[in-house]
Amino acid sequence: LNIVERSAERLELEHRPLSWMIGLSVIAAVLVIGMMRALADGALGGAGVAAAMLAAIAWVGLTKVFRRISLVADRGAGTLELKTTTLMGEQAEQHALTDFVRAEVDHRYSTTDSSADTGLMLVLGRGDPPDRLRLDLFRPDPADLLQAEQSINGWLGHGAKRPPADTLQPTPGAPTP
Amino acid sequence: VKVVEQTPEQLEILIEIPRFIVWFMVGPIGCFGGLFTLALLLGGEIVNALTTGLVIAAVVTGGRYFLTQRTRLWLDARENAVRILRTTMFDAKRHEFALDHLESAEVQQSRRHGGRDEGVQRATSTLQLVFNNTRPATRVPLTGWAVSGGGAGMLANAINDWLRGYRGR
Repeated sequence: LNIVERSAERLELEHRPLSWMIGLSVIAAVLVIGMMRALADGALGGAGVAAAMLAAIAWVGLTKVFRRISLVADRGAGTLELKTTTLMGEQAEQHALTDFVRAEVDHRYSTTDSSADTGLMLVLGRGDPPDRLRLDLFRPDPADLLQAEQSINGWLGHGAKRPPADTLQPTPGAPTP
Repeated sequence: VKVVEQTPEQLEILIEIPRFIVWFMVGPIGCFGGLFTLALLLGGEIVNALTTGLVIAAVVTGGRYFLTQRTRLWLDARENAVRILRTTMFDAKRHEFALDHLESAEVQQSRRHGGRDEGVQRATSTLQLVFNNTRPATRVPLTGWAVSGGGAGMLANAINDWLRGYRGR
């Protein structure tokens, strides 16, 4: 999660796993070249294996890696917008900024192999217990998460007066909270 | 991997793979791959030369990107700050945290087990910082790669000794 913009009015963070994008691109480029060569030589079996590996990488890449996840908190509009942009399109989810209480670094452990998974949890609403929304980030850097938590909570804590929730306009297609 | 500056006010650490090791790992692939591509080109196999050259270029670029990642860490007692600067071939990223939240430095080791006759192979280590302002504490690895040898342990000792001095004031 990198800070794209931080002002008194607006905070924008984005997540793009650049290292994974570069690594997958290199592997995909090698596989594409190998497949083309195999096709040119008439080695259909080799081309098929390369195509299958390429398809698996493309699936992981398109569903997990090549995604831009952004969080935009806007005091003027009174909204918290979460956007996921992929090569296939964009999905947006909007919440009232008044419901956004804080962000927390969240640690989960896998129930299959007990591996740790660190992510960012958004605490929305002031109920008991409050709604919690975990951002679906691919392999985030823990330093980025700590920085994001610090930036978001600092920005929320030092904010100007927020607009009332009833002035919010719902985003078309956004899921109902 | 070295301590650049160590005073009661500041500790500065640099973590990078030495250039000669990067060249040792990437250089032969580029050199022999380039010669092989040249031989194909001189032999008139243009398509083969092109595809081989592209594969070698992709492998060398990818390897160089991951192996030249560099991390610089500053612990600053005057400004109560932990600063981390990570640079790669394409970008530089800076993080800043409160020094009071830094609990310690740890070394995470991974030990690969070989076959029955190979025994346990050498462990590789990654240096990570432990921040205690979350529950449970958040561990921030300082590099994307792990190395064998005592470098990570030496840096963890330096950080923990410096923190002990800082808290004992």
